[in-house]
Amino acid sequence: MSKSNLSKYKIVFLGEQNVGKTSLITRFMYDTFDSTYAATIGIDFLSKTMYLDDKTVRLQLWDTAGQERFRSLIPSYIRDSHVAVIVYDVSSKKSFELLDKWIEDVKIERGENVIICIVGNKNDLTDERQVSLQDGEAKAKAHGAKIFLETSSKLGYNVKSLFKKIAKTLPEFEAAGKSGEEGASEMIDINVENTTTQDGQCQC
Amino acid sequence: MQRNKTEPSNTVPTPHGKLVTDEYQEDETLKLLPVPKENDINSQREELVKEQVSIDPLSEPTRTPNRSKFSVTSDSLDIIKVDVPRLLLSPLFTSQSIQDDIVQILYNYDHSYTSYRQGYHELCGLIYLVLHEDSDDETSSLISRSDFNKEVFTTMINFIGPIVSQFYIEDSILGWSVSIFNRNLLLVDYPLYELLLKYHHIETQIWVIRWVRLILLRELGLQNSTRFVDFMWSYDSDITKLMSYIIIILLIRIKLSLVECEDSGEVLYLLLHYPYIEYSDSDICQMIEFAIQMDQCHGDEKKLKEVGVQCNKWFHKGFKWEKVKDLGKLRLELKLKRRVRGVLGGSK
Repeated sequence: MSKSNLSKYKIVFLGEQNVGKTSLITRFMYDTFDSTYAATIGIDFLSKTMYLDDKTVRLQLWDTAGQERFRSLIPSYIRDSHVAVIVYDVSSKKSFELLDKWIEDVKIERGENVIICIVGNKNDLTDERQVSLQDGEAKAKAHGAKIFLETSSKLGYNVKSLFKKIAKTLPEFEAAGKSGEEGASEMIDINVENTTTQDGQCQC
Repeated sequence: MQRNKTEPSNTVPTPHGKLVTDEYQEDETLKLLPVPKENDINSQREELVKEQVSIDPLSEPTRTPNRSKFSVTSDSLDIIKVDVPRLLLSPLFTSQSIQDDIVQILYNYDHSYTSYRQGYHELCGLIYLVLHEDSDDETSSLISRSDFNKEVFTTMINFIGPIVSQFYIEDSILGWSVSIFNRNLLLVDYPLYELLLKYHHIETQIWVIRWVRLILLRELGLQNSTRFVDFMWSYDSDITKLMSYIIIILLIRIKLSLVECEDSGEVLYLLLHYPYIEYSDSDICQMIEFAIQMDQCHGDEKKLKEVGVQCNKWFHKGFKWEKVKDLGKLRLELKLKRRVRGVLGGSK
């Protein structure tokens, strides 16, 4: 099938600087991780065709600059987005506290017409953790986020799972997802993909 | 301090650029403030009190020398400290002492001029590299570390002023994108304007922000970007117009690839992952020559179109660009040619 015939979905990544938005996308796209990424200026854009449940969609990933909060360009990035992935760093309380502002920006621009997904990245930094899993879950619930996950781009932990969950919220997969997960909690079980977590990692 | 201006004939780029103005004179009284330690910042924090202000504190930063020292927030310093280790322009910046120097320079710039914005660190890095190469050649043993940092700081003040005012303030960049860039693109290459803005509906400010804020560093690489910057700073004209012409020329360079894109996603990807090439001196000189010609049209629509056609012909030979009105038709022709090539290649 030609790429131009595929359904395309815009997924925008938001959050404070250095929480790992670019690294999440890079892990998903290329299954690689670098310890340092150049700061995103404005936006970056990548797209990937995803095959799932015998269906194919094209995900358009919009990676944004963390410092653009409050700025007038953010609405143009959020506009037409199907999914907003708002990322914080579990080792940075500040990045977690500022989630509220990002979510507000998304809701102002998109109202209820967007799937909100909250991601606590860098969960491999067990000794530096400042935000508990429960706090993350509570925040996600309070904001009506459909997906909440902790991830580690460094270890590849939960990254594929994140994008699968995102894909399943898209119209192509929604019907199948609902019938298969009826009655299930809105929260994603982060233990579904636990092969790469570090020993002794706190999951609470 | 005025930037040194020269005539167009003197604008052939030098290998390392000429970011340092000849008029630079060391200011003996200038002293860079040390970066406060964490404890110092905490002690500077004040209790929140209501205060009547005449300027919206959330408004965009402006070029205001000698900002109050209390306007330097720990937030700025935090962001600077996060960004500087992510400066990947050169292995030089992996050195902790050089990172400390860059942090100090950016901290002082934030303190004295405008709030730090992501991107300043790469502009500062570019200046640091150019001056570092110069000092290696000539005076490395004569310049102390603090004097060198002062020189970087002073150069930065001159260098990024116009960039900040035009490209870091969002209202300005939105205005520039529409009234300068889009208009010039329309006049120089209407089919390309139509392709990007009418057919694919891609708003210029979405992709151009990184091009202009980092003065093409990510698109062209350090060496190429420095040569264009050298030209823009030495040529006596409005940098914002020149920047639009150079970007238009760079778009014309990848025009066939843009035409062949199947959808707006592919176009946006191409614009944000500009194909890298190491340009020869003659390539750079020719592109600069086109930019000068466009600038010297002074908005004359007919002349700008003619230069646009010449530029297209230079990059893409074998097309009658003066007759190409519809890039959709060209897309079909290119597809057909590709298929024929594929069939011929497969039959061998």
